[in-house]
Amino acid sequence: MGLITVKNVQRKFNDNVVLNDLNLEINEGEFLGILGVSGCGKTTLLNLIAGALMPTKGEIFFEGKNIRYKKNILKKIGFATQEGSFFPQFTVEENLVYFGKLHNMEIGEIKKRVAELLEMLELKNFKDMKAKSLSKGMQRRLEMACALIHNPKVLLLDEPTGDLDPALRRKILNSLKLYAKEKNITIVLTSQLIDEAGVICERVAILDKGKIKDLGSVEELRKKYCDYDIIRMKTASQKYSKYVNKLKKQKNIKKVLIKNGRLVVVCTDKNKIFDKLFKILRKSKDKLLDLEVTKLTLSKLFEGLTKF
Amino acid sequence: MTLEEKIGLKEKTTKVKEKAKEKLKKSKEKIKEQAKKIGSNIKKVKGKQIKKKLGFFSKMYFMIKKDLKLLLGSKFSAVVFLILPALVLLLVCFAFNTNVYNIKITTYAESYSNLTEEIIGNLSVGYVLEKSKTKEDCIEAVKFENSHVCAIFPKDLSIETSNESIEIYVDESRSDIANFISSQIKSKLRKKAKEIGMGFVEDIINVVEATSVTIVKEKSSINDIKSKIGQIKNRLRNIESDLSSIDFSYSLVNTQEIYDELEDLKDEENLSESDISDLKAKIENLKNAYNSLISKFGNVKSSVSNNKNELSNEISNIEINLKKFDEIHKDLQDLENEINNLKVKTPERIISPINMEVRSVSPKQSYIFYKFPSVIMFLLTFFGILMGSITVVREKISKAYFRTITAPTNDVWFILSAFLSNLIVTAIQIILMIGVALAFFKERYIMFGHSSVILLLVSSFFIFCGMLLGNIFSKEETAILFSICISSIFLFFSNTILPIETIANKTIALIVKFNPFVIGEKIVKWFVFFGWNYAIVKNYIFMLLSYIAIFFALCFIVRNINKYIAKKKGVY
Repeated sequence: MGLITVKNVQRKFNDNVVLNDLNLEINEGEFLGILGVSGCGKTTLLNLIAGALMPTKGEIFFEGKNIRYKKNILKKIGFATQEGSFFPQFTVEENLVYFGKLHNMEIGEIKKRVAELLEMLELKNFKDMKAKSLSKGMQRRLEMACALIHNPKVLLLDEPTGDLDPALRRKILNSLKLYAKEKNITIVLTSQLIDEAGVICERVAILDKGKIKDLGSVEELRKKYCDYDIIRMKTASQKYSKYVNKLKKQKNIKKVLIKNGRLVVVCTDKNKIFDKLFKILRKSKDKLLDLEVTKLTLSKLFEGLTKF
Repeated sequence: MTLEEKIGLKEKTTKVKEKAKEKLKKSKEKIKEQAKKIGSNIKKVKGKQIKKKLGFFSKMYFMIKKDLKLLLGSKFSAVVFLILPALVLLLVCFAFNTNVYNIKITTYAESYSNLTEEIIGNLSVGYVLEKSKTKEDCIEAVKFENSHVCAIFPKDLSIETSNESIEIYVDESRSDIANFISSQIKSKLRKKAKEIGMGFVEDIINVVEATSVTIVKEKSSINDIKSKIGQIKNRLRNIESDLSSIDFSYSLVNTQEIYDELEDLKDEENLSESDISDLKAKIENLKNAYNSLISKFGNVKSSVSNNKNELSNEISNIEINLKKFDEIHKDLQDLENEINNLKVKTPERIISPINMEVRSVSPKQSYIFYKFPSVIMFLLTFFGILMGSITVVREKISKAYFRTITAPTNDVWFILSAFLSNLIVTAIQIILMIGVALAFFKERYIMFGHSSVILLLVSSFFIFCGMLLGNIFSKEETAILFSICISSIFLFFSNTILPIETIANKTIALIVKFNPFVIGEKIVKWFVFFGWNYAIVKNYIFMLLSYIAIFFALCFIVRNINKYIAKKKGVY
């Protein structure tokens, strides 16, 4: 059994099912990325793991014990929320000291941790600044520091680098990776950007419509999905049902769908598909307006898995 | 034994000794080490205990610091919560710390008599007076609050002629001052009426005293008349007895016997017939004269008899009159006795037979002094509830709420820190307010010092009350609105605006007696006015402590319900 086990979890908000029969196992010390589009249930999943939300159905286990009955779980989990959960009117240091105290840490230990975290998250020069005066990016880093202040066993990061520029994002994530490795911290990170997850995550779970669509290392997913070509075609009639019906039967087709008035085909052998497509085009006496062929990148893979 | 053997034995024994010494040394060292270890373990345990204690204070310090920052974050908030209550009290004390009331009286009379002017002159002491042109203007002035009282005097008011009364108009809707003014004016008018009444009573007393003297005089006259009439009556009685004693008896003369005698005499004396005839004629004349005398005597007799009857009647009349005189005398005597028995003959005593003086059990002070417990209690209620609710709700709506609520810190910590931070602010408020109070009522400094503990205790309740509201509502505006509402309820159901004795519903009246506002006000009044001590109010203190405990528990329950709902709904 992993460090965290999510078992048949369902979470409803009124009648809206956000997570449905979700199963996930997170191992100790691993960095797991949860990818998905906005509203797919990533934050809900983190909230459930943190014990801040109760599942409608199913159970979540932490170190083999149901978190429903595990009182000390909050000591072991650090959660960096998307919105930021700190006092804007307090300085960076005041926030960290306060949250350290809430975790029953001694003041000497807190001071040491504050210095360490400010160094790692490049906030050292801003420790006396009020949180509300910080830039969005700095606030994100402060949020991470708040989540790490009590030296948690598991760090939950909800889209942590959304407001950071790409260079800083990579830098911060790398520092975080090193830090977590050193302290043996398990990281669960949610993101809409697969590249972000790619920086630190050993495994990535693709979350779509409340379910884990796929789970594996970034490399595995790349191998699994990145050999595909994407053909986007637009015809004058924009009637693609014939194409869809016929292409679906083909072996080398991964996915066929209609999107924005175009036919989108994800396949492995594009030439064969071209032949097929042009045949149908000729038969139906339709006119080709636009044709685009692209290779599936890691980002596109993620997009493809969730949006296609 | 050879020497060598001896030397060998010695060496052996020294070796054994050395070994034994070493062993002893080692065991000693071991014991020392173990003792050290035990000592260090004890130190560690003690250190941990101390650290735990220090950790508690350190954690509480940071939590209180956080709550104070939330509450007094901005300069404006700090001024409002720390200084404003004292400023309000200062303002109130400045405004009302005087006995000179700027009360305006408007008067109207169709024509002002000397008496009217005299009364108005009396009223002018301590009040601002203004004469109105018409009766309507006078009343309107009260309605529009240009004047506090309208006094309408009858035309040419005089004691002798006027039966009309003086009409006083006050605005009863201003119940706070209406009773006060009307009682003040009534007392002034009563004073004048007493002066006038004294004159009247003096006249009456003079008349009564003159009557008393006259009665005494008339009594002796009556006695004289009575004795004179008695004498007359006696005389009449004598006359009556004299008349009664007159003998009116007589016997009739038998002439036949005289004639027979004459016949005998004629025979004997040989008297002639003519002599006899002459004699007979003379006898006959005599008889006639006798008869006529008898008839006259009869008349006299009847006349005497009549007069006697009349005399009797008159005597009985005199006796009746004498009885009447006795009655009159008795009446006069009674009157005299009654007059003599009049206990109160001085005008002052007749006008006000019972002397009444209203004395205050509380020390004589300015008007605001009596209202001080209510004012300070109102400020503490209002600010206590407001601060309590704002502290909690500001944390709830803050971005950090999620991290705070999911931190492994018991809710009791949060409740205690919010309470203690509010209590610190309240303590500062109380110190400042008592400072203001001392500036005005210096002589009662000890009492104010005593009451500060009670004020802190009552404030604690209101803080918890506010914290409960803060836990119930999730928006600052709603919490503030409800705080104001709840403060108003505490205020309205106290003695501040209307006496609680005027509450008609018995159940509500009973509940109101246990209103912490009322209890606090009562205790502060007792402490400041009468200098009572804690022993007397210990039951109330227990009651307040119970309220605090109940509201602490309610805060804890509501906070946990909020947490449960947040976990269930995912809304933080």
